[in-house]
Order: sequence, then C-alpha cells, then structure tokens
Amino acid sequence: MAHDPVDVLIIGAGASGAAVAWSLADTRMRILCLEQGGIPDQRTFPTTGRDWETRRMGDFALSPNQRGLPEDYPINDDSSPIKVTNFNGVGGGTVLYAAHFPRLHPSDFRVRTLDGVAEDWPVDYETLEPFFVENDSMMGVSGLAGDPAYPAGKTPPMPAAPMGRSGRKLAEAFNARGWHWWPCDLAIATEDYEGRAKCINLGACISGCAQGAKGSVDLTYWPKALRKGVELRTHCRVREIQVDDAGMATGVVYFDENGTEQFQPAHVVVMATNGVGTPRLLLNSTSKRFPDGLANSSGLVGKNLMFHPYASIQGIFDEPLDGHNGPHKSILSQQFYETDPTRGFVRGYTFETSRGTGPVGTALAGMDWGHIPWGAGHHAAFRTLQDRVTSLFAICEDLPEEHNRVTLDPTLTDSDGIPAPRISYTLSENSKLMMTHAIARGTEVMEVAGAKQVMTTAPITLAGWHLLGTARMGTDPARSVVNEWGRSHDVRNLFIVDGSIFVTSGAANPTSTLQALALYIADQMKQRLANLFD
Amino acid sequence: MTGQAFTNDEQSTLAALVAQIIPASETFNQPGADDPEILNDIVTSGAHLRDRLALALASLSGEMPVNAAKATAFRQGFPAEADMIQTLTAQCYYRDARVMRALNIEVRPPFPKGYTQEPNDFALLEPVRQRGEIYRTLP
Repeated sequence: MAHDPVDVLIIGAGASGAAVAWSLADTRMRILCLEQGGIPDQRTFPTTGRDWETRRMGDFALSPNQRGLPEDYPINDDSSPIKVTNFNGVGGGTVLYAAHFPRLHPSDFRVRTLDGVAEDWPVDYETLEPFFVENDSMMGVSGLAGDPAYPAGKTPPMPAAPMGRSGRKLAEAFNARGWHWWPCDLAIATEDYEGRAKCINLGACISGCAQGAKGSVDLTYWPKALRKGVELRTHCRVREIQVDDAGMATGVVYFDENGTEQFQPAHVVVMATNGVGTPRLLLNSTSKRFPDGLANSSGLVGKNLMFHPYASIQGIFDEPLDGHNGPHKSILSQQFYETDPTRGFVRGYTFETSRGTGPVGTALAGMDWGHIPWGAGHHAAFRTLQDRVTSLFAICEDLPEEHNRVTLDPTLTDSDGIPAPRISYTLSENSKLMMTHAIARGTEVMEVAGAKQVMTTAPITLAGWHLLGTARMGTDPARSVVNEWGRSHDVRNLFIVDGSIFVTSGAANPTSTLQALALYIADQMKQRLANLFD
Repeated sequence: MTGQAFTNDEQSTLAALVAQIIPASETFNQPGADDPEILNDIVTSGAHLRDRLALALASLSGEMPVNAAKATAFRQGFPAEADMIQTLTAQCYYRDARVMRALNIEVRPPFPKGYTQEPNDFALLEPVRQRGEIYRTLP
C-alpha cells in the first residue's frame, strides 16, 4: 500500500515521542507517529482484580522477555548482570514506571569539566530549565518547592504525595544522621488535574495506574497531541529507516498490525525508541552508503550503554508501616549525589524510598530470604513481615564505557523476523565502589530508623529501567551520533530524542530530563524550520 | 472444576507438596494451601507450568505422603521446579478470601476504592532547610 508522505514521522509513542509530537504539532505540519504496541486500557490494569500481584509476574511483568506479548521484542541480555525492563505500547515506559520525577543536576551536564571523566553535555541545566517547567506542567508533577539539592525555582504544580509511615520513619533517620532528604517529585496527580483523577494510593504504580492518576504519556501528552492533529498509528513495528543516494532519510519500512510490510515516506524522521530500541533500529538500517548502520560514522551507535546500577537496602521493622498502600516512592536523599573525592569514587547516587509489598510479594520475599519457612512456622513468620518491610534504593550514576553496548543478536529475532538486540554490559569498578558505599550508608539509615534486620542486594537484577547513552549527543561528529539539538551528524533529516542521546546518566530517574530534552529539541526544530537541513 | 493440564496423580502430589509449604493453622484460623478451593486455583492457574513440573512431581509420586523431610529433599533435588511451585502457591494462597480476612486484609482489589494515607508533616524538613543548598555550583 502506498502511503502519502508525511512531514514528520516519529517512531515510538513513549515519553519522548509524545512530547515531541505535542510540541511539533504547533507547526501544523503533517505528523505521524508509528508505535509497535497498542493503547493501554486502564480498565484491564492489574489493580482492578485480586490477582494484581500475580499479573505483575505475567502480562504486566517488567521484562519483555518474561511478558512475551506480541508487541514485545526479545532482548538477549544474558551477558549483562542488569536485565532490561520496558513497556512497548502507547505511553512506553511511563505506563509501568514508578513516576519518580527528579531532574538531573546542573553538575551532571559538566562531568568532564568538574571530575575529569566522561564528556560534558552540549546543553546545560539552565538551557533546559524552561522545558523542565513546561514538562512538569504537562505531566502533572507533585512535590514540594525549596529542595536545597537543586537551584531555586523548581516548583511542582501539585502538593507532595503522602510520605506515609515508612517515609516518615526514614526521614527521621536521615535527620538523625544530618543528611539531606526531601519529598519526591512524582508525576502523580495529588489533586484532580487536567482531566486526571487524583491518586487514591493503589500502591501498584509499576503495573499501571487504574485510577489514571499517574502521569503516563498516553494520558498526558497524547490526548493533547491528537487533538492538535497528530496521527497515531498503533501496532506498527518499524524494521528500518531508508535513505536516498544523497544520504537523506526517505521514510521507514514497517510491519502493520496484520504483519504486512509497508513503506511510509517522510521528510523528517524522529526516533523515540529508547536506548536499546534506537541502536537496534539504526544498526538494522544498513545500506550501501551506511554499511555499519545508519548515523554511525562515529562507530558509537550502540556503545556507551548506561543503566543506573541499583543497590537495595531493605529493613524489617517491628511495627506496621504502609505495606503497598500509596505511591511507591515517597522521599529521596541526595546527600551523596555530588562527587566527594574522599569516598573513593567519582560522581554519586540518589537514595529513593520504596514502600512495601502486598501479601504475595511479602510471602515470596520472606521465603527467598529464609525468613518465612515452609511448614508449620509459615503463618507466624509471615506476620512478622506483613506491612513491616520498607526499602531504600540507591540509584547509582553509571559512567559511559564503550564496551557496554547494544548490538544485533546473530540469531534471535522478533515475531516479524527483525534481528533482536543483544546487550553486553559489565559493572565498572566505580559503580561497584559506589554501591558498596550506598549499602553502608543505607544500612546506617535503616538501623537508625529502628530496623531489626537489614537485607541488601547489589545490583538489583531486574532494574534495567533506564536505557541511556547509545547514540549520544555532542558537537564533535567523531565523538557523538547527534548534534547539540538532536540532529544526526550523518543524516540531516534524522533526529533522535530518547534516552540514547544522554551523554552521561546522572544519578536520577531520567524521564523528567529526557522529556525536557525532547521538548528542547522540538523547540530547536521549530526555530530552524526554514533551514532545518543546512 | 480443576484444570485439565495436571493429571489426577499430579494433582494429588501437588496437593501433598503445597500442604507442606503452607499447612492449615488452627492458631491463626487459616486453611492450608491444599484446601480444595485454593488447590483448584493452583491447579488452574498453574496449568501452563504442567509440562515443566511433570518430571519433578513424578519423583514424588511414589513418596506419598509427602512429609517435611521429603519436601526438603524435593527443594534440593528440583530447585527450579520447587521455586515455581512456591511462587504459584503464594500467588493463589494469599488471594483467597479466608486467608485475606485472617490477615486483616480487605477482601477486594485495590481499585477502585484505594487506600488512605496519613497527612504529611513537613516540620520534619526544618533541619534540612537550615543546612541550606547542597548542589554543586559550576565554575
């Protein structure tokens, strides 16, 4: 079937694709977004049933390999201690994220200058600030102004979500140690907001919010983008981006919902397919002109993959806390965010609290830890854990290393026969030292808070939420894949706006920064429409 | 109605094993995981696992009744299968209405009623505010 050309073709309807679609719609250009998954239906989300905890291990599992839905593509992550988590559908990762919405710090954009590692970004916090503000409004962020870990002026549009008993207990412990803490910025509506009902503490943010209080982009950006005339075509999986003899993108080949191959011509192609999907698609887009993959003259496509290695510190308390009730995240601490040379590593980490689990999660964790036995002691032991466990997670900055990379698996393919991504990743010594530090400090917090026992894990295996760095931005075409406003150095009508363009990872959940960056790039495109390809 | 994927022998073995994982308790007024309703849920919900569990369950079929020592030996001999059965058992047991009531958990899904939380007390932040800015300034 021959399709009419569109002005802008966006691949991927997740956090960054939605933001770019909404922003570019101001231009009245014809904009089309192709998304490999469907539109989530809140009425079917797990918390609508008593089996909600079970479904988190099935059709709402975090790992696409475990979920195995038709819209998922397999990922060979056997060679990585951290496994990829994602969601393939309208909303992307925001459908299953915890909605923790911190920004990167000003120092994150200047790591080479400040610490002599990695690279400086070609943009800075000040440049992105108006887009942070715009994005906070669009996503509906709750929190508390005045956090001394950030420059003045960060004012979430809604009041902070409840800290709960667990948040309060850990906040008191941070105070006792003299360490920073602050209520989390969350993309969760704590008041009725822009058509979204307020949070009712379902406590299962990471399996989709049946209430619609969580700011997933299927509920925030997309309704507004569609009203502005953007076309969204679902269940369309892109196989490759094609180019002409002049090296300009001409459109994409994709498989529609019936598995039929289609070609969609486009004047501009925008990739918003995350730090694994983007290199996969670029590496699959080979041609005579680009035999090593599209936009890959630097050889950096797929390289410098950064996760955030997570360390977990869990405390068992005598008194009941929150269980799973309430948003997953309540407070954070950025006491150890910035570099301190006396610690023996560079850069730092954020502590975020995580409430507890429901009864199934409690039982399974208790049996895994050996706290809940098989047999007669099961019931009494269960009661010692029920609603009595809470956690700190340390989100550690991951520095870019070229050997951490996404390549194409030689044999594994998705259901359309498209080569699947393969992850090769090892933890750096810096990350290991950082996690060790975080576990020691987190254990102190738990013990001061009164935990009778503390369990630790590092890294958390199923925590590859943040997929960053595999097509990074920069001013030097030999050291980066896209320029300082997201355009490919090699293909002048190809843009990348997802987490793959991150130069460094920072030590904070990336969605806020990722979307601010996408809005910034869209703004740059709008300002340069007359000479976009020069 | 029980699932069809497990044979009758396999269901009997499974019942004996899950009763060793979570036995009934008079003290806490809770059924065991081999309670007919819960077992039915286990057999039905775990039907897709039958082929992966069949060999391990067969190893116990001549060992009935399953006691604690045999259950321990099963865990050691078939750790992956034991883990699957443990997960399946917990998933089905802790959504049973009688079990939830015994644990003072409301017998309902989280949505649409939700839960309440205590209001925030930001007076706790006073020492954090007093210490002032901690972000790193740029040269």
